[in-house]
Amino acid sequence: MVEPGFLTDDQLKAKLLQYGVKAGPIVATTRVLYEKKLKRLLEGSAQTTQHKVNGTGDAGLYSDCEEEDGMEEDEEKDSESALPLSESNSLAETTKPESREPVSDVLSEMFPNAEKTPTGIFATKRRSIKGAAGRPVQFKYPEMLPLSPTTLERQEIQQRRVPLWVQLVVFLLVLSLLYLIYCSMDEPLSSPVSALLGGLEEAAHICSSYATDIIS
Amino acid sequence: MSSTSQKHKDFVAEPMGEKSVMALAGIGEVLGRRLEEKGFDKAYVVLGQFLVLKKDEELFREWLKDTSGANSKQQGDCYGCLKEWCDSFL
Repeated sequence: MVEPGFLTDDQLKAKLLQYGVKAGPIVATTRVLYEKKLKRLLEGSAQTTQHKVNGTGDAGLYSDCEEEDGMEEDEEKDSESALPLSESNSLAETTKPESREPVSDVLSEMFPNAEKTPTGIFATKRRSIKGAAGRPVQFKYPEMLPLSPTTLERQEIQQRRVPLWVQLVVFLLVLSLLYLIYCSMDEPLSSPVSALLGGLEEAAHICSSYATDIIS
Repeated sequence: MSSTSQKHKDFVAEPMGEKSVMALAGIGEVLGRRLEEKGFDKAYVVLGQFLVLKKDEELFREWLKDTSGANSKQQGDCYGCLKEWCDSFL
């Protein structure tokens, strides 16, 4: 028996065509669906007479009685409705069309545009809900998320925060050290700065003497 | 056919633009959040999936069930909503 999981996209498409299913593009998100469809077709053709007819179970599969009550956005009923239906579904998976006339008519009424599958099956197998959470469909790039430019910048800035403070402290220390050295020196430094300082001092003296002259 | 909800009518009345995935009929807060976690955060992304499945009802319903855990009614509402939108705008 062919294992749909091991087929290439083209082979999968060809196999589906053998069963009269014109598959659309087989991409990442559609691959799994088409594999499941092929599995169902293979099982359907292999087991034609085994399964019991369970009309009530099938009606339960598509009945809206427990789902109505304006339940488009109701959270609790999602899991509730899935559980009882999964049990009934395992019984009513594959059956002949002629033995299930009344129910298949209901189905074809409900799905007028659905393709006629060779086995006349319209029911979709219901999986447990945990499969939805476990399906690795969109988590292809989980590592990309933390590496957005803003987060990178923020990380860089955070890395630099500590050394920045350290730099300031070191700078102030050095300044104070130099000032102390300058104060402790007996001889004035022969530098243009000291010359300017000297000049400033002289100017201050002159100004103050002028001021005292004017006052007195 | 069952009557369509107000949400359905609102959605198919105009181009979807940047509408959230919760604007789709059948998709409420819980399902919408699950779809967003999978990366389907806008209605047009779900539309993309719908189109890549060639608007096939069975496949789309199954995909929606697998991705968000939608029940049969919700699947049908979402499918009908998208189909009608495509009929008008695509």
